Amino acid sequence: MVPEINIRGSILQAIPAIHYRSVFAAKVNAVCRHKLKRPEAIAVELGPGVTSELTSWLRELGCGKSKGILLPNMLGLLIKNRLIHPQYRRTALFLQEYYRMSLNEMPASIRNKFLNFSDRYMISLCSTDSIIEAIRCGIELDIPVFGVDLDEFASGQEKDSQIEEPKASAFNLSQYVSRNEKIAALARDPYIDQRREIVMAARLKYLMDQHKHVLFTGGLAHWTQITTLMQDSLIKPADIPDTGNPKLNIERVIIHPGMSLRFSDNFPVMSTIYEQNRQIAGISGHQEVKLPDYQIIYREIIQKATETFFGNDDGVTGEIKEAVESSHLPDLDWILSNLRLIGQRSAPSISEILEVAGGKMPEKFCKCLTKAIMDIRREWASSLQFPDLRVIAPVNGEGIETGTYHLIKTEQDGENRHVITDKEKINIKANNSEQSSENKINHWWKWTDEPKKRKDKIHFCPWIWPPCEALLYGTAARAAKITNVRVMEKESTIFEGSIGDGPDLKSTIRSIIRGENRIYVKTASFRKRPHIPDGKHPDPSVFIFSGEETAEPPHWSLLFAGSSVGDHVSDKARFREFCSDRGSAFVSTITLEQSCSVPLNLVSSVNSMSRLAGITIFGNPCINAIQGAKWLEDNDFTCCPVLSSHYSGGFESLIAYYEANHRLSISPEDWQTALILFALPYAHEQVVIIAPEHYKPSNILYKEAHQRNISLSLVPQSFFPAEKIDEMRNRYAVMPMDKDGSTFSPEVEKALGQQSTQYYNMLPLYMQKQLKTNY
Amino acid sequence: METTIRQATIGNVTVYKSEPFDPVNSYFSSFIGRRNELRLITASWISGAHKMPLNPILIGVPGIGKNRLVYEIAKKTSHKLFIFQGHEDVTAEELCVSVRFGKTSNTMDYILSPLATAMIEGGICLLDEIGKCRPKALALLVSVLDERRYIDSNLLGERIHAHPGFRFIAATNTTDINLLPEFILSRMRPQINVGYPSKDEIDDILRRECDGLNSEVDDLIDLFWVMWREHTGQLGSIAPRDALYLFGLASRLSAIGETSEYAEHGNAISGIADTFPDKGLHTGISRVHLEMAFHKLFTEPKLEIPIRI
Ligand SMILES: Nc1ncnc2c1ncn2[C@@H]1O[C@H](COP(=O)(O)OP(=O)(O)O)[C@@H](O)[C@H]1O
Ligand SMILES: [Mg+2]
Repeated sequence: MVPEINIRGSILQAIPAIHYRSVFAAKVNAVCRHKLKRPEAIAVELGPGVTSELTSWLRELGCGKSKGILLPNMLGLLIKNRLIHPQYRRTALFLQEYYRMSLNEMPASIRNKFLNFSDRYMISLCSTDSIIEAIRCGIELDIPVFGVDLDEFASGQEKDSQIEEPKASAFNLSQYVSRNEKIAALARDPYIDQRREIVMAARLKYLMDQHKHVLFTGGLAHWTQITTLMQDSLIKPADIPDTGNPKLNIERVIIHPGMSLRFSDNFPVMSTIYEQNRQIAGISGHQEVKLPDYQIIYREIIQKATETFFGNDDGVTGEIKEAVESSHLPDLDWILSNLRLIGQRSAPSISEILEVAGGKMPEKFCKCLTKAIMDIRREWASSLQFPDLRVIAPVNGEGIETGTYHLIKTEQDGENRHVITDKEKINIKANNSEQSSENKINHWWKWTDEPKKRKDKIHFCPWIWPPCEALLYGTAARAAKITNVRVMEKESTIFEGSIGDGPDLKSTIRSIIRGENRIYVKTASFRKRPHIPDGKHPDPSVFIFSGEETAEPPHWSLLFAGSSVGDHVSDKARFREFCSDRGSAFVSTITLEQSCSVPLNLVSSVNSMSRLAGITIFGNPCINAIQGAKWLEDNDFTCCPVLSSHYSGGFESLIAYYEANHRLSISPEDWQTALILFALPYAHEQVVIIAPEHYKPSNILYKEAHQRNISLSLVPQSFFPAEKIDEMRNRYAVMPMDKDGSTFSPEVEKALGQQSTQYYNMLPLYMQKQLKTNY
Repeated sequence: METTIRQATIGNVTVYKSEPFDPVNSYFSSFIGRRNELRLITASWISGAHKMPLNPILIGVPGIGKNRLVYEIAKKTSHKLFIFQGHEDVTAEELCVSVRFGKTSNTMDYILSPLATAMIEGGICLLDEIGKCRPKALALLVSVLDERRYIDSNLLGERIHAHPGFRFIAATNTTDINLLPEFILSRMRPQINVGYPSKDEIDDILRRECDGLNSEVDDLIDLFWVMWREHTGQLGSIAPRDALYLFGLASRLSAIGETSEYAEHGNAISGIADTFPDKGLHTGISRVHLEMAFHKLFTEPKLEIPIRI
């Protein structure tokens, strides 16, 4: 028996349902297969536009064909939404005033969190959902299916209410509805839902005017209101637009298994069980879809997880197994069955299972457990079957704001793998507990059909995008040109009371001979002479940019001349000797930088991005390993710090290196001074410092420079165009096509809007030549 | 063993019991959210015919609401709550009994620790900041946590058995969890991670705290979140204590009509806290006050520059 409403001789049979719960879908199926109860039209709680899209998609997937199909798990529709709940009006005004921008310019995450607004919402093609089942039955019976709800509506704050769990083995819909409709209605949003229910009641009335037998399925929460409104003579029948709003923007997507659970029945395998037991609506009969109780599936999951855990031996010691067997497992079971008691349910929810397992069981067991949960006894829907659809996938990692997802476009590569060609970040409403279960699932479980990263086979490091280097080094070379080196020279002057650096005997004697009788003393003085930058033996330079306030604190980072320089030096024996003696990691730059998130349009081509606070360059850009090798050889490997290996502890070992080799103890706290101190020991004549006007090198620097007879040449930043300075600070790390970093794919060039040889002409001629000849 | 109100007799020694902690309703604003955590603790504490209750441990950053969670569950289950505050100098014996000079000379009084008191009374013992205790001090805990459910006191020369109603829970700062020795950690399950409340929950906590405050509170909360987002790049991810403290400070600033001078005499605040004793927030918090408080607590430049190496 299902709830019914009779109006003027027409009957509305209703399946007030809870989303995704298979017992309700089974009821829909049963009514549709029942010879006498079969409806003439079907109405669902969805907008007309979404309903017609779902209907055509299900048809395309094969619904309605005589044999019937297994509905893939899980596909979905992503629907654009433009409405914000009026309860956020004040906040919306406040945000516009505060940020001085209109709502549509604001970052999606702000709209999501402050206004509970996501510009898209999801409808899943979950087989166990009563609405999807109703549409399928409509197709199979070849009767009209109507969406009686609104296509777009705002969402208010989510409220949860404790509803009794429907039990498959003893399910009586009418009784269940009368016991629970009031409680379910507590979660209604008075403003939004009231409007929707009025529309639904009016459209249902219209349908009942047209058809004698109508089946309706929708949320249990609306049912009380809808029955009341149906009796209300003030609510007049209202026509249903054919396809709804033509501007409705709908995209078909594949839902990543890792985020599919919130659109599933309690356990995802229910969809497979449902599909396998379902009869198509055209075949009359009284047998309902047979469904197991959740308790049974839960037991099976635990059983399977336990078997896999004890069944394989890798990496789990007997001791751990012993502990799991004797105490962890019984405890897990105990807590979960208690949770079930407290929640008045026959089985714990997946989020509870994961939560308790995470706090109790070894990681290995958690992996077996998630594997068992995610095993749906068939393949998950993937790009293999639906190559044209984008995949909506959770974003993994720390600090990701809730509700952030990726829309991934894939393409088949030569080896039949589906590789990511494009990623778009979107925001979808998600609550904390859904998000935390998803995080756990995606942490412990890997989808075999996960879209692959494009180049994950190549094992070498990203290089700095050559134009970034060329611009920086070219600018340094220009700055060096305009400086004058102050060269300290001893000269003789007449003694005028100061003995200076001591008497100059030669000059004094010459003076005596000339009869002048003057005493000459030696004095040190600085003479300025123009500096000729030398592309072969370049001096180091330092860029100091003004610090910026960002959330991310700056960090030190080292770049090397290339791990494969050894392949390109001409004297391999000398190279090997040097390396075994001194180390093989040649530091070409030292930076203080802040990591930035890569802009969306660059995600597919740029590995990472950072913004410089300051940088020390040792002279040669080492744009690729070949150039790096030439520079090192030209300078007998002594033009830069050398660490023992590329993995030798990074910045800390660099500090130790300066302490040991140059007796310089450099404190990273004063980062500007540190950057210049790093440069000093490798300068021949000068260190060019490109810095903001107000920058004054500290006294230590002058002292150290003086001792080494090196000039510090300050070039104000304003000497260069501000936009170039700004451009210089952005560092893109990209994946080259070879391990030497000498070729880049045209896609990267296109995405960054630059040739990889951009700015080469700014480099000294000698360096340009290094880049031209190829071995 | 016979118990009176404050005294108990163990073996033939008379001991003084610790006071239970009574979270006064009027002091705490109402409790928001945390349904899963509450249920998980409840589920862990159910005992059965052949099943001891488990000993959960709460893990989370300071101010996230670990203590509050335990107060809440004590209130819900009407159990007496005894809190043992962990710190570096706790000794093994102190976990059970300590001594002090008695009122009359030449006598010694034995004081049962909150743990031992909870054990004999069948109350809840919260071992707060367990990660701060030295491993050696925790050795006596082992027999309390497993099926033996007793603690031995050297001082008394007696064994104290737990009442069937006794329940144990510990709490620790996230960073201290690794300091706990395995023999304790393996007996403290499940580990319950207490995470940041959602933005909506923080909103509710602030709204209830500002109960009876002018209707502008929603605007202030919005202002707080935009400042927080600018400061941290995120919405959410704030401990309730920090949020409450911020509004408390703003309220105090408003109570004394502090506005622009504050900017110059930044430390004027220090004395104020004491001169503003009662609960509830002053009703006139304006945006300026909130901004000043925010600046004071979060954005005021700390001297060292953060450099990650
Ligand atoms: N869920 C909550 N609802 C209301 N107030 C809370 C909640 N969680 C924490 N608080 C408040 O936040 C402050 C810090 O909580 P506390 O339990 O002392 O944190 P912890 O023990 O983790 O350091 C307290 O004032 C507490 O009342
Ligand atoms: Mg605490």
